[in-house]
Amino acid sequence: MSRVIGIDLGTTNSCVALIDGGKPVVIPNAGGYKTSPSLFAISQDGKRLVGHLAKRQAITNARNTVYASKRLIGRRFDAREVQTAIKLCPYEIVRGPNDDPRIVISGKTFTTSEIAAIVLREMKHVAEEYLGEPVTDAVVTVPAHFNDTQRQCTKDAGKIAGLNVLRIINEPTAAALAYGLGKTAEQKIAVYDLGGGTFDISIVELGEGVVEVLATSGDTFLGGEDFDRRIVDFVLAQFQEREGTDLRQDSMALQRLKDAAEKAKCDLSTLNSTEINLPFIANDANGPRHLNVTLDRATLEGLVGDVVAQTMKCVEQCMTDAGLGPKDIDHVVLVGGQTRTPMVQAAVTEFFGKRVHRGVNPDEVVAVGAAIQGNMLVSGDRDLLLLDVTPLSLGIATFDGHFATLIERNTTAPVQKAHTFTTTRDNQTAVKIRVLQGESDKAAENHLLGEFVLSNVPPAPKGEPEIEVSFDIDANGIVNVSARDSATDAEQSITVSATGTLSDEEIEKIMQDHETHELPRKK
Amino acid sequence: MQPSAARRERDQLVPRLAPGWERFGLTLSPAEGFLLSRIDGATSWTLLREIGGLAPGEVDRCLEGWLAEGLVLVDAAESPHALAASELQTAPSVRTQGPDIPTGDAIERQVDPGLEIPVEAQRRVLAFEAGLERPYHELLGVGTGVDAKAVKRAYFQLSKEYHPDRYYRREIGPYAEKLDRIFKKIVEAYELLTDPTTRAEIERSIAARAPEPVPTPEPPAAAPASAGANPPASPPSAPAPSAGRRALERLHRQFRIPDAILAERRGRAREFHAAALVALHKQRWLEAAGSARLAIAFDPSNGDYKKSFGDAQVRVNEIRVKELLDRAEIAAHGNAPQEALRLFEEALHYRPHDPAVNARAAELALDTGELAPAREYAERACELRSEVGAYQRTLGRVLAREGLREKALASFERAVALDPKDNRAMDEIKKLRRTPRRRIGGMR
Repeated sequence: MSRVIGIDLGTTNSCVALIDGGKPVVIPNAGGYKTSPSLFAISQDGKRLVGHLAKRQAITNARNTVYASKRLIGRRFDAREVQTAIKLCPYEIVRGPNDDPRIVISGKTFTTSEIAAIVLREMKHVAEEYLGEPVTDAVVTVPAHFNDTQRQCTKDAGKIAGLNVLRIINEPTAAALAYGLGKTAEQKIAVYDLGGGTFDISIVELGEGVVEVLATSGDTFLGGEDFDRRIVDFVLAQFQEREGTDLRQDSMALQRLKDAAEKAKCDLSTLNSTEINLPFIANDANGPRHLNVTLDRATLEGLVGDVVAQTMKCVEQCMTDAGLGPKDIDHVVLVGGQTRTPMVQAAVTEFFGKRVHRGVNPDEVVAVGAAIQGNMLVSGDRDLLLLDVTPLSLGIATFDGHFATLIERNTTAPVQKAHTFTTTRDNQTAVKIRVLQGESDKAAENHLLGEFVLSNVPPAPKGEPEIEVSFDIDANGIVNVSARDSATDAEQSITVSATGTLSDEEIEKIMQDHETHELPRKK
Repeated sequence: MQPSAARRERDQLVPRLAPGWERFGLTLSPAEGFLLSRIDGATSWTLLREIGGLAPGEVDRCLEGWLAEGLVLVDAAESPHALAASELQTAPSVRTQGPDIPTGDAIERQVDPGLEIPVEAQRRVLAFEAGLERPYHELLGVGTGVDAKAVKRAYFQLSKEYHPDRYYRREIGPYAEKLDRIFKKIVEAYELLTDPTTRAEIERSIAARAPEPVPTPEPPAAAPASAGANPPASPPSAPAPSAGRRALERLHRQFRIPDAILAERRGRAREFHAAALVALHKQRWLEAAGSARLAIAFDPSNGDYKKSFGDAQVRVNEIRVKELLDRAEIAAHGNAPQEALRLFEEALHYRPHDPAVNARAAELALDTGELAPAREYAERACELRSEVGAYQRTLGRVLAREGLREKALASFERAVALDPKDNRAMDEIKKLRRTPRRRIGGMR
């Protein structure tokens, strides 16, 4: 039986796990770390760097280092998130031929799927080194709010990386699966996921070994990096006040400072006070300058209090969506390294009025959940089942530009739903069915998945023909939409294959290109 | 040539419909439907060949196919009087015993140990699938009074058993589709029973239905009139399904007519439709339309019946229009213009786009002095056939009577242009030219 790996493809860090002898194992990379930064860079001398290597030179080579590209994947160039990223990111983002954002570093253009593929390939190698055998099957996680295009782009990335992606599952669901392994009691769980770059909150129900997502909410521009940035700014200001030197223009100094800030942040999770000590950070007429700043937990909390408050607002929203109060939640599962910060834990504990669960490692729990799902699929494990839900509502556009929902978001799949529609003009002989995905009442604001025409409707007064539109989602998430005229039984249908931003030919071409760039590896 | 022994033996077999045959999701031609309607558990295979309405070879093919599908079961003929019995019966007696589970035999025949799904599981899937149309409570195996937690527990348990992921990448043949269907139904039941509104309705209906099943009509066409302006847009359709509407649709699904009654109604419908087809063939249109209408009344979901009704109705209307027009002409010649106009107008109801009928109606309306309708009919006749001079002349006469001298002249001139020998139009032109303009146009 072939192995299935679970990959948590994170905004800032990625992690890979598998089930070995019935137990989940998180696989360390060559450097001994269980997570790898989701970074890709091309160094000054043209070398391709991934993970920790890329991170170590990220600031000194900022223009040629891609980070947080997950915020861009599957989006249109004009999307708000892409425009925000253009303002924030030091690397260049350009409009691609399919209106998709593309990343230019070191004079080369990459699609977002390619960048994700580079990270996925790295995770695949980590697993292969550990197992000593090739791995092809994988379950990859994405945020719960990802739409079909973003999911498909992630799948495409898997394909480019030489992986057969069995399923794309939601990160909070994966976390709940990992948490729920071996538990049969009925319970409602809040999954609070504060990662490096994004925040997600989901309410999940467990029972009889079945995992079901009730509601989910989040913020794609909120995470641990905000903590780091606040610390860096604070230290820079102190240094400037004391030494009269602005380090902002010195990228080498900034890189050192950012690394130190992140470490100090982690230290403060267990210590009350820590020192940021960076000797020879700068030189001026008076000789070398040293940076030495003491940071205590209270100061840090003062710096990031508003970020934590922002996450709690999302939590409240999500609870309202689920129609639940804090008392209805039985357990709180924390995901993401940033949840190690005592202040975050305190805020969550206070809101839900109960202690948070510490049984699973917040950095690894999502990858473990993905591995469990992958193993469950291929081994036919009967103790656990994931009831996956549709992430966004599906429906069709109506004549007045409205959106008629047929399958609401968070509906368990596989599912089939039908509704009868009619014509709007006398003797109308054709109806156009536009299949959309999204939450807006206005058709134009939702994402068009495909369209087709049902013709040869017999002429009749308006409102008379009965046209049954049926949506069918199978276990693999493939959506089939059909329209049938009940008078003639004439039927038209399409399979809405989620399309990424790349065509199959483009993917093929990228795969060939990448083979030539494959980093040499020891067998 | 003598039929083989096996063939002779088969000829004595008496096919009957398998319990739950309604669920096979058949797509039959009308002729096959007719044959199916003859299967009553009393008529033997031989006789079906005679009365099945199909070529004997076709009857064999159909029956063999249905046997293989499990739609039809066979018993040995009990008595030589089978035909007599079947003749006495008007409606086919379909043996349905409510929400039934197929017999052990039927299940065992479908179990395939070669598949990557344990035979035990196969049996459970087959049994569960057979009862898929049971009321939602029964489907989930919960009582009407149970709390939401119990519903959820049942849902989770069934999901673990029947979710298609259970057999991911396994070679399970037809079971993949079965699991898909079962799981969708489980989700539907769970959704309806966890929504307090729909659940309350369902439980009320169960309570009300307890002693005797009340047949409820089929769900009405979900084509509610949309309020407000209707822009002449070509994109599809109708209003968004509101929450209330969805709840209503769910209820319609729940208030299903019991299978036995439904089967009987469908049987009756097929009988009537068969009669309609015969009448159509014999060009007895009125009878055909009547029979088809009855068939639709018993089974409103069948498109074939609607088509037959439409075919017959077109002919019936033709006959009726012809009759109306004859009577109208008689009335017109018998100096009863009011009556004639009424008859023409009735004919127009069936044939609104017939220029000749419009023109005749215009003339009679002119005779009775009803100028507004006269003008409407005359204008429509001209629109429909602009090259006919006589229609232009009629329009001209109406316009002249309305005092619209210039317009009337233009119409008469068009009439003459189209037909230079139209003396009556020329006379009208002369008459109009002679008349002083002031008096004719004197509307103020």
